[in-house]
Amino acid sequence: MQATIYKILPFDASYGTTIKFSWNGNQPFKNRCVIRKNDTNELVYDNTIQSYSLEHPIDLNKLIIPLENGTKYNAYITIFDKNDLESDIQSLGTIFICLKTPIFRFCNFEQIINSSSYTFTLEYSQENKELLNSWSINIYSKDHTLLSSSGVSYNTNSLNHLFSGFNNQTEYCIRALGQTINGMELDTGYINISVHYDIFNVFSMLELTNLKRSGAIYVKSNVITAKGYLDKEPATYINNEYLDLTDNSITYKEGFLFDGDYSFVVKFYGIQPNQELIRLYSDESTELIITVTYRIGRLGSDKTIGCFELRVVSNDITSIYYSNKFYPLPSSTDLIGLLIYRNKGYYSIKAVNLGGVN
Amino acid sequence: MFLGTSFNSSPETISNSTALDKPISTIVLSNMILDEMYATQNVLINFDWVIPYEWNWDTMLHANFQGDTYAGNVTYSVDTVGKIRVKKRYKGDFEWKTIYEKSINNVEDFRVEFYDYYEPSNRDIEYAYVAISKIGQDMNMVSAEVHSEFDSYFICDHDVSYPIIIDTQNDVTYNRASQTIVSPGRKYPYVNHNGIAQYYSGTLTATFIKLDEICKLDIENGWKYRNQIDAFLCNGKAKILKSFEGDMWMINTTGNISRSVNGHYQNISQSFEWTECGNPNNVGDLYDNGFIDTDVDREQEVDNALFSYSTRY
Repeated sequence: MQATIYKILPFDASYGTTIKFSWNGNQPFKNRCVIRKNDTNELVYDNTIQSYSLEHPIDLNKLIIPLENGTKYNAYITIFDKNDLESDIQSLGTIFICLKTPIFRFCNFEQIINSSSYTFTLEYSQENKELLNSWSINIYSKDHTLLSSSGVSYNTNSLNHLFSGFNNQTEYCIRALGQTINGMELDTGYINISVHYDIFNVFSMLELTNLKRSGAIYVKSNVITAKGYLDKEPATYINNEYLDLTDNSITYKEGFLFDGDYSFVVKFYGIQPNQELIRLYSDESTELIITVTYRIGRLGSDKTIGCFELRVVSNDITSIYYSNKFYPLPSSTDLIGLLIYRNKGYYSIKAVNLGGVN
Repeated sequence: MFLGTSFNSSPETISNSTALDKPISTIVLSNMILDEMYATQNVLINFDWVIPYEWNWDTMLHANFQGDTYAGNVTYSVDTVGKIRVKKRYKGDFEWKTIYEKSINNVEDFRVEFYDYYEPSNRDIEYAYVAISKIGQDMNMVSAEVHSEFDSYFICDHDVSYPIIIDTQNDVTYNRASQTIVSPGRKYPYVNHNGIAQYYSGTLTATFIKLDEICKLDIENGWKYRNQIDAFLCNGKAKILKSFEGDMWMINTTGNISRSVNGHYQNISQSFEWTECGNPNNVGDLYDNGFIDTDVDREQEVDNALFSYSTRY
């Protein structure tokens, strides 16, 4: 009577494995494992252990010749009963291969994710050219409840998956599982991740209304996209805080409409007299043009003073308004605040020196 | 006013000329080193020169020029966004499901406004507005939450929703295929469960009548409304039926639509039979039955191999 050896999955020679088998004879008291090289039949391991279990953990210290990754071997098992009677050895051994433990890990892993969605990418490599057969990436709650999965993928050319749905200020675990073509199992283990991201002020961005009598949720976005386009690219930013328009201009034409009364505030520095700073106009630009120009002069005084001139040209009728006056004149590094507002059809302009820029 | 020009040389001067109400649509700034720009619908007569960081309903533009020229409440534009999607999930769920998708060709396309009829009553639901870059990647997400609470039964399809308010009775059956086999010489029968089909069906009876804005019944035109309901129920399209309690089924009507007079010729109940035909929470079923126009988040068939992996460790 012979023991029947179960399939031996590939394992790393430096870690060994446990060979499992079935046996229908007398109660085993000992078992013996013999391992030979598949190609030369050279004896590599011959060890008997006392055990009632139907398994034999390979004792790496008892190896006659060390196991080598990339090499195929045959394993044989015999059983000893209480009378020390050894069972028949298999005529054909059970073949197995030793393979270096593959590298199987997240290659773009970040402990803290700064977005509600993230693409996780796996890295796989194996010294002995063992190919990857399948993989999956799973997201778990902190208590290891499965929340989402990529599903098992057999596409080994692209080892990535996008997960979207991470809640802010929440901790998750991520884990990837895989299998090589020879059945070697891969597992990254549970890896903790935290999600922290900025949430926009939602009240103005996404408006949701429960409509009791309609049986519906009214969904309305209040997303405003308004990008300024420069006359000359690239933009010159100063300390990443200021946009230099001394020899440039910026135009906004999308995402807004000043219809009726409004206020428009601009903070700036580095202005020169008699240069137009602001121009606002309607689509039909001949019908409404509003400009602001910085002026200096005596203006009825014996000192040189400065002010901002607001010129409103509406249907060929021009109205000119002046801001409060500046004395002394602001320096080239003084930050100026300028406010234009339209109140019931009437325009006003105010300005203030906010002090030197940092 | 002199030669077409009015001079108002100080803030205290009263101007007699007002600008025509042509909306301003273009802003050009030049000849300065720009720190901040802000526009609001409020008239800032007493402004303290502190520009609020938070956006509110009156904010129109706000730009800080810290490395970009965006003046809206998002840092993307038509240049960078290919599509926007609206996603939905029940609070506590992980996966977002896209229920609405729109290509972005101009700035107006960023505006989204629609009624979502496909959610049950008494649930906390999260919606997300997601911009998708031109290369197909999710950009920043904006999300908000709402609690659904509806007053009555509703039945709807892609285009229209009808409340079912008066004298509603919905008799529901949970169906499954099983068979009892009595075997000779055996005291107890065998019970076979055939297949995995398990679904609801029912008969709904109600008085369909239109309510106006002040909840007044439009009895005179009730006959027109009943005919409209008949046509709707028989249009062959799948429908969503939901109760005020929280039940929601994707159904199709079967059989005939019958009417019964309740003591007065204008008090008429209509009755129809329905059978579940899909899962109203499943993107694939919603798309296949014409409720939504996108199935980018169509559910994958669960691969049992995944779970066999999980149980090994």
